[in-house]
Amino acid sequence: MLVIYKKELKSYFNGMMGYVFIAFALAVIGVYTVAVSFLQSYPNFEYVLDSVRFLFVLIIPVLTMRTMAEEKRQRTDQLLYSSPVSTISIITGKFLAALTVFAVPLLISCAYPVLLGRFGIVNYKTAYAGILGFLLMGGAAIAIGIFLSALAESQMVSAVVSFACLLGCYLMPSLTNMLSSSALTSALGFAALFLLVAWMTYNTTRNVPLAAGVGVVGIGAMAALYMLKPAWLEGTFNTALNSLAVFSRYDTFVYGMFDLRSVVYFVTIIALFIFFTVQTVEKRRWA
Amino acid sequence: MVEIKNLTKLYGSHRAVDDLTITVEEGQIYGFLGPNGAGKSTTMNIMTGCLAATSGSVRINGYDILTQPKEAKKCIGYLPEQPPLYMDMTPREYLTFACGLKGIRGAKVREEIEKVAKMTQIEDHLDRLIKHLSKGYKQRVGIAQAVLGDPKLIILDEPTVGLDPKQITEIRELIRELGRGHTVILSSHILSEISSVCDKIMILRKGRLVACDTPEGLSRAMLGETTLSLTVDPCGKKLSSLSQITGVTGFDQKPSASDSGCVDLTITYSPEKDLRRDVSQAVSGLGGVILAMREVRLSLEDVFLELTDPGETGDANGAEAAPSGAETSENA
Repeated sequence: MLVIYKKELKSYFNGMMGYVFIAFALAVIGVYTVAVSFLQSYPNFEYVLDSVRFLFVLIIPVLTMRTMAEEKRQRTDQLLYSSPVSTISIITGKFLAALTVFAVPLLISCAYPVLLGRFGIVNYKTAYAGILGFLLMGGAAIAIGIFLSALAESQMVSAVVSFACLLGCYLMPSLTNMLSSSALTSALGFAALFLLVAWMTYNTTRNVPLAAGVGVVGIGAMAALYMLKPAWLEGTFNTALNSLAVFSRYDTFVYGMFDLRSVVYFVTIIALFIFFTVQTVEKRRWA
Repeated sequence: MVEIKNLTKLYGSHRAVDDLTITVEEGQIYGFLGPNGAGKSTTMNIMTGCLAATSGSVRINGYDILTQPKEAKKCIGYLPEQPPLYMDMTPREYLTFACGLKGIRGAKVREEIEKVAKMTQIEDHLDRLIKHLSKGYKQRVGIAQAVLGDPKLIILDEPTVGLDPKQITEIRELIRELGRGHTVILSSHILSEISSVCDKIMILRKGRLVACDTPEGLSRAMLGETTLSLTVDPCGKKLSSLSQITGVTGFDQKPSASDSGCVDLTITYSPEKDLRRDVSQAVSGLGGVILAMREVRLSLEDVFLELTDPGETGDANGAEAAPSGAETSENA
């Protein structure tokens, strides 16, 4: 794992990628620190991080687009898979390397609250909890990015898809707000979801009865639930969608809380997507 | 060293490898030979754990590649069809990384890199970026990676593809050298390469093993009968009594295409006894004149073509197979 980690880290800094990422992140954090803390005189560094959240949606795909897709294109993955190194340590090494690059600007920005403290009263606890939370949120976004990179054929595709997905996660709260929370919306939403699952089942297995069965059972269950217990469906689809809103989990940190639920949520997302990536890679070997 | 049992790999409904069973013994150079799409690369990818088989098992040095991948992969050095090189690294960085992957640590890393660099003659290019190296040198860096750490089994997938003739001879020399201390398996669709380097040849066709023997053994096995090809001017005499010579198993005559009035004879007999003199005397005895006489030997090329050509029925020892063999050896 350490070998992969070192190699990945080196490849970030062999080219421009690592430096550009760090420079861009520092510039953005710097500009917002000036705007929020100096001009508007807020002593809370977590407000700065709240404002720069959106920009990280833009640049995390840059960090993760190469990781798996480039190995596949250059066929260097064969070297990794024929070596006595397990898939999970390959993926974890790659994840940690990307997280390290992500952590560099945050580490530097750790000095900012201290700097602000010279001019007023700063709540260091909320500021540093905010930075830690930001690191975890970044980790979750990186894990998602690496997973999508493992699915994509080229790094450009990987970047675009990751960007779209992270943007979707970012906009999820406002998207769900547009949906009414009635039982009918939920029933229709879940029915559409089951239709999608049925289509995917057909795509992977080419088994018409199985796919049709999945679709019919799912949609039937939704219809039955809507007829019999509509109360259960009220707002559930919105809740389900909102659980995908990775970035709004950071809100609690902005409010100055160190919410363990958010921490657990981010760590779960990271673990889950590393697991998905490992499965994708293993599946490629089986296909 | 390697035991492959009933290995099958399906791509959809296409059988890339079909019930393949192979045993590879230690300390020899094996050659996988087969036309494109015969399943050579697929088999190698499965052996090295890059790909999983649909069914069947592979054991490397007693370790199953599926259930004990770490132990099994430690015994293997693998050069895939396309060398897995990171273009923005130098060979030194690349080999250092490969050392790390193979679990070589500390002072041994430098030592190992120097050793393999010397072996593959890339010492002068260790600090240039791989993307600036020529194809031949890239291939060598790939081979250096495969032999790094002295693995017991070295698997090379088409190691000489894309190299110039001088480099090809150098790589072959290197493979021969490796064969002294390691078990080597290499694949190729070029016959001369396999026959000049390998101790044993395995011919694959459509994912099946059709033959496995030494180069000499293969051509001997294929050469069930010796075929004698003659052009005779019968001078008005009948030649069919030639089939009565003791030992002759087949006799065929047809008008010659090149010499008018002459006949082309094809006589087959078992290779234990040389019948050329008897045939010659018999023809003179009948009053005919021999214009040309040639013993047809099947070269390894013919063996290969016969075993891998799907058009043939597989009846390799049949009399029809011999003339086609004669043509190819003439062209070669």
